[in-house]
Amino acid sequence: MFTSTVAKTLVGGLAVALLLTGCGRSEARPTQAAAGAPIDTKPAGGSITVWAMGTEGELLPKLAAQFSQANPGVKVVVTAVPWQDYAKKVQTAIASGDTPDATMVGAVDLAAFASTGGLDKVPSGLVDFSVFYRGAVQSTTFEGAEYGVPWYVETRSLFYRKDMAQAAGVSAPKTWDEYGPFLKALQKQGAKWGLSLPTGATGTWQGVVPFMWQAGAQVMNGDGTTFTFDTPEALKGLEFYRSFIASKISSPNGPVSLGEIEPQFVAGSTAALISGPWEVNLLKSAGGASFVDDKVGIVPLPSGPKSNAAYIGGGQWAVFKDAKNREGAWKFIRWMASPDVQRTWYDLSGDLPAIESAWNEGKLATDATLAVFRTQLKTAQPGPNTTTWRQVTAVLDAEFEKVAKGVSSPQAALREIQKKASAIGTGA
Amino acid sequence: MSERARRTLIAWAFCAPFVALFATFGVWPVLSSLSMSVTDITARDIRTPFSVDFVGLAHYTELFGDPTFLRAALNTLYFVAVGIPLTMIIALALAVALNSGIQRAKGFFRVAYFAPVVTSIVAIAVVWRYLYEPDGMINSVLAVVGIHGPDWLNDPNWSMPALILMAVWRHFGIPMVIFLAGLQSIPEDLLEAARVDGATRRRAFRSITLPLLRPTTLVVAVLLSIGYLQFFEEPFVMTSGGPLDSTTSISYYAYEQFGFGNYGMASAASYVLVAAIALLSLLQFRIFRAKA
Repeated sequence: MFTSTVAKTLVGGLAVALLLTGCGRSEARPTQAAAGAPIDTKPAGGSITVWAMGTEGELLPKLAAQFSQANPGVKVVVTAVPWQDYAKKVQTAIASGDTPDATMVGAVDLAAFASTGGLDKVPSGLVDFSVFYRGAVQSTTFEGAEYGVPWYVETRSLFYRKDMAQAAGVSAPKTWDEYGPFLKALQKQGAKWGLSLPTGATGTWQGVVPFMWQAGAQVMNGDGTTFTFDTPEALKGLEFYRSFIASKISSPNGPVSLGEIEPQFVAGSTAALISGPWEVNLLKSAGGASFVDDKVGIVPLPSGPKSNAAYIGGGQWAVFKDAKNREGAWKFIRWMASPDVQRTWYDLSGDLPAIESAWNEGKLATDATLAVFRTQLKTAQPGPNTTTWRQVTAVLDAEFEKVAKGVSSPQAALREIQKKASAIGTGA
Repeated sequence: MSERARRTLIAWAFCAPFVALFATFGVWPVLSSLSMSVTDITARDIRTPFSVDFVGLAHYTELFGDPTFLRAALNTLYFVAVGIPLTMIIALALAVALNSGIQRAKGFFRVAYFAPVVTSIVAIAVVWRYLYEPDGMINSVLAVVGIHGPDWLNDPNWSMPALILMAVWRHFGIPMVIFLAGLQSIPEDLLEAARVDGATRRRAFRSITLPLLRPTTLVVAVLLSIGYLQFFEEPFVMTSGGPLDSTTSISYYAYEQFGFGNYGMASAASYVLVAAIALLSLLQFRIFRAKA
């Protein structure tokens, strides 16, 4: 059951190789150019095969149709792939050399994919990286070269029950100091829990590491060679997280599965949660449009000693080395990375544009909810950009769970995280 | 061509498709992952698999120094030690019941008991997660008899029993059918003779049915231990190995390592599992042989 195609393809020859040669890894990886070969400006042609995940995979054909209109003779073939386990699918494709031309990539995974050598470097001059949100660009580089083009971004802000806040006579918190008292006031209005926080489910780190950032922590040193979790700032952040649970504002058993929290929020048993722009639609289906209009408030995260940093995620586009239509794929991506197309895509999918200037027109410019996320994006940051980050996040999730459930203290957890993260290394 | 050579050739021609498939999808991956388990291969190497280093048994020593893996091994053992006997007892009891009384509804019950086996694990997970909620159906029923039920899936002490219960419910169908077949092959006249001699039903069951079921029991035990040692789907869909690693199994650990791109570690963990399965199967053959 564990012998995936990767394994099969991979190590078929390996057994033989080991027997014959007893080979060794070459110590220095060859130095590489910072960008891929440029592409021309002629219209794209031929067939372009792309993988896209989740809702994006279902909606992308509509966008691709517009691209085909602008580039007669081009055919974009979209395969929708589920987010679940898509990383294994991509790695399998890279290992076997049987890839599509381009794929959407989750921001967390780009470094890991690039490290396999299976991705093409972004051609020089393809896009101007300075027009994207900084947080989005941060996760496209690997070992000094760009491997992906940001497409959409997402970040999280504070959702709270406006009606409860009004009844309690409190206004949304702007700082850490106001955070707890605000939530306590909502609890007095009948909510069992003030704020829903993740407590160990996969991805818990995306809810907890921002507390560390807000306190001024950097979880990795400047040149990306070591993790730095064992710092006073990180401790401050983790203690702040722990304080919500210790003072019974947050449950030690946070939501495990998707769709668990919305009914509680609608019922008023949980008064606040931290989530992204997609949450609006989820709350609409759980409580109706009028519930969202009348009872839901959205504000940027309250600021800690340093900032109100949130986690930034999103989707990027990458092209495979084994692409059959490299030029066409990059042209499609260049087209998708223009402000107009990003706006069109927002209208189609609700995904937030990764290009800042795309926000200057239409609903993106005027909508009050979107303005909150726009503000939040300014301080949002991604996780460190290393091949081992996914593995480190598993350690984080496990240790944060111990803190949430009171099995471990914030100090002990950070020491353990530091020890394990150092052992895992940054892949540099 | 001699007649003999011709026959051999034809025989091989018939075997070839299977041999080819088995070699490609059976033997090759097994050897591959064995060789992976002694190298430092990671996701970085997937395009250049010939550039990895031989690390000997380093992954294996690393595994046995990793508290998470040890916990996973312990959890797997827990699951097997409780799950297998429980499944076998329930399967046998229901097989006996189906084999004797309730003649009319036999078909209905056989289907009803077998249904969980063929139901998608994802669908099962959704339903059981509701059942296990703090104020879900199971705790509501317990409350009726005055027991305050735990928060099953969030309590590290109860998460494993909860998954075992679900796994047993999901898996007893096939052992039951095998037991049923075994029961039906027991000659009626033996039991009749026992009755003539004045044996009670219980005595007949213990002295005739059970001994004659020994080969069947062996098959069921071996099949179950192979399946249960690979404990994976329940924690995967229900708990993601948590809370606090209380439901992480060896398979789940290996799966995670593959996800991190640590193919060497993942393969080593898988081979620990292979060794465990081989050992347990051998043990079972010994025990049942000795008595047979």
